[in-house]
Amino acid sequence: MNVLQRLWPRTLVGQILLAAALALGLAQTVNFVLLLRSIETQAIGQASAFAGGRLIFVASDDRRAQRMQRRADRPPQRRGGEGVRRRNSTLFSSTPPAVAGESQPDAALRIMDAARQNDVQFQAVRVTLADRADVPPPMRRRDGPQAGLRDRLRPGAAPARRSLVVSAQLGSGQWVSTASALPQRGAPVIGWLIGQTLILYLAILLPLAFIAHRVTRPLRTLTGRANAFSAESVHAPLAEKGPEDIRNLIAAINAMEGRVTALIGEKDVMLGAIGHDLKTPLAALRVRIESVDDDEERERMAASIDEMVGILDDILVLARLGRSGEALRRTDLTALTETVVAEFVDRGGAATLADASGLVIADIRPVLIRRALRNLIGNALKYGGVARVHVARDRGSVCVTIDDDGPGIDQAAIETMFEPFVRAEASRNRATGGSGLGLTIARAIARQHGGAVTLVNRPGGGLTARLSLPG
Amino acid sequence: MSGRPHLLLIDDETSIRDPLARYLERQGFRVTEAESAASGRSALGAYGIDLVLLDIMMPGEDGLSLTRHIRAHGEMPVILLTARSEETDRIVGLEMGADDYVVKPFSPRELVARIKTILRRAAQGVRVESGDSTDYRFAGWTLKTAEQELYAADGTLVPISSGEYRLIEALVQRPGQVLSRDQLLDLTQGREAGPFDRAIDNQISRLRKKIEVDPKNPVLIKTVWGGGYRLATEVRTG
Repeated sequence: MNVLQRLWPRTLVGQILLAAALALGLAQTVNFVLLLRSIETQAIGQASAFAGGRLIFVASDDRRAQRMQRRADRPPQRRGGEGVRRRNSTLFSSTPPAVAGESQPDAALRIMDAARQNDVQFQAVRVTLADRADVPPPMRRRDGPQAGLRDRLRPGAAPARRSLVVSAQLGSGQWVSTASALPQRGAPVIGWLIGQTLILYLAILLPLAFIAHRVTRPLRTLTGRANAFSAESVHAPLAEKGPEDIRNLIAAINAMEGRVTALIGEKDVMLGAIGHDLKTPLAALRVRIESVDDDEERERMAASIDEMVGILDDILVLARLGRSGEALRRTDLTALTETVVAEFVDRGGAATLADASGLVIADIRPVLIRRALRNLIGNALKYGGVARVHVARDRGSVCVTIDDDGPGIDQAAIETMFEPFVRAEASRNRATGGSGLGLTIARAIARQHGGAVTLVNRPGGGLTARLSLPG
Repeated sequence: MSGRPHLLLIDDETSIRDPLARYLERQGFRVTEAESAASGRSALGAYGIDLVLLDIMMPGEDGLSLTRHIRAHGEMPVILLTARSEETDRIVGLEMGADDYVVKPFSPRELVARIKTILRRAAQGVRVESGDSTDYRFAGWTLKTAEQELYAADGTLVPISSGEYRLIEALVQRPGQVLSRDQLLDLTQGREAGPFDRAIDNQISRLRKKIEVDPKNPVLIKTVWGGGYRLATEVRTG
């Protein structure tokens, strides 16, 4: 079963070819059986004609001898009575020789007809297809010239294994019998048939493979296209090539791609409009709160407004990440991390950057990576009190690790931390602020770079966030 | 410039323009309001304006186009107000010749601080080749002013904060010159130093980490005894 599953072709081309090969094989098998049967019939026909001819000759010879004896008025001379006429390998007997085998009535009728045409009357004819070993030795001794002849003509040919035994009852009631070997069946025919089958396979499967390949090539193109589809890179529509069904499919996918791109474009326009429209009243509010005399109250209002703006920015960044338009640039990752750490230090955060060993440079989108680092370091400070940051190069990738001294995260909940709007505190209260999108954005940014963000509880306590990027 | 500086505030949003104008007036500015680029243009012709506050996204002619117009006709400082924080907008704005930009919603206090810095710089005549995105090259480093970015000799971007940018910009504009902490604070943040102000020293040490081969023995940004810093290398522009 397993083997069958492994051998079963998975591709369309493979399945088409397998179906064609199976159908061809079946047809060739039927062909083969029919061919073998017709060869058999032909061989029996030939052998029985040969044996029949010999019997007819013996019978007419016998009749002539009797006539001459009658004219000479001599008592009929028994020539051997029951016995063999050596020259013709024929056997005279009062009863037909019992030979086990397959009776061939059609051949018997044909011999009767042939005898009648030669003025010989057989009262009965029996034709039996038997193993050559079962044929009585006197008949087998020379059961047909073709045996010896064939051996001489085709030295490699297999010796005959079957003989046709023909017995005919003469007018006198006596039976005369002879045998004729049948050529060994099969061997050359099978070789020929295999050759034919191979040629057929080549003639049919090769063009079929070509056509199937031509049909599936656009399918493969479509697959690659669908895999690579992203709203940020706009491709020209695929050329409609190939058979009509495929062309229709390509046209449909092109149209769908257009609709998807239009939808994403609409989403971006809408989000941009929302961002702009919300920021305008927020900006107005931000200006107006300056007239609040209570400093503490005013600072709180400003903080709330800043938080709203932060959430709005997070949502906009996440929604537009695919088309940020920022190019990859060779960037000093240590300097970038240093800049982010300094932002937190200036605001009183306990963030430190370990001295990097050597330059750590990577092709990144600095604005996005800065945002990812800001989110990760901000989380460490918020939930873990400190952020010990380390930048390193590690076998084909660069990574920034951020250790905190917080309580860590329940191992089972780590993956859900990356989901939007999930916060570490179970109550989901907003005491700690933020949009709940920080990790989601950091991971999305890392993945957009072909990297990853992971969270690991350290054995000694505390959480380690790790941003790794190809570099 | 004498008496109250005259600001021209161009923004199509009344809800921002009105309270901001009143706030700025309370801060000692004279403010003329305009609700579109067109009326802003006529106000520019009618009054002696010291500084323009300009919204980028406006119906009709936008702020960037008006910035280009203003820059083509003189040295008047421009601060752009933008609702979009995207990098490209900022770069385009600065390339058009804007002196600074603030992202909405902004803190009006911070806006005032920036206005004062720019006005002081304009008064001192230190506004450098307005509008052109001058690049400074020193000791293999390139400082691009439009992008506010620092590049190493092999083209690698070395990210710096905006404070570090203003500091290195002040230094490369005055190579060899000794700049005191007070001068640097004034040039970069438009404020005076407190008695224990370490902001400049912190930023210098961060900059050294990024550009010096050995930050402990700096050869580019030298400390001068008696309080100050000096860029000890040649600077080429262009």
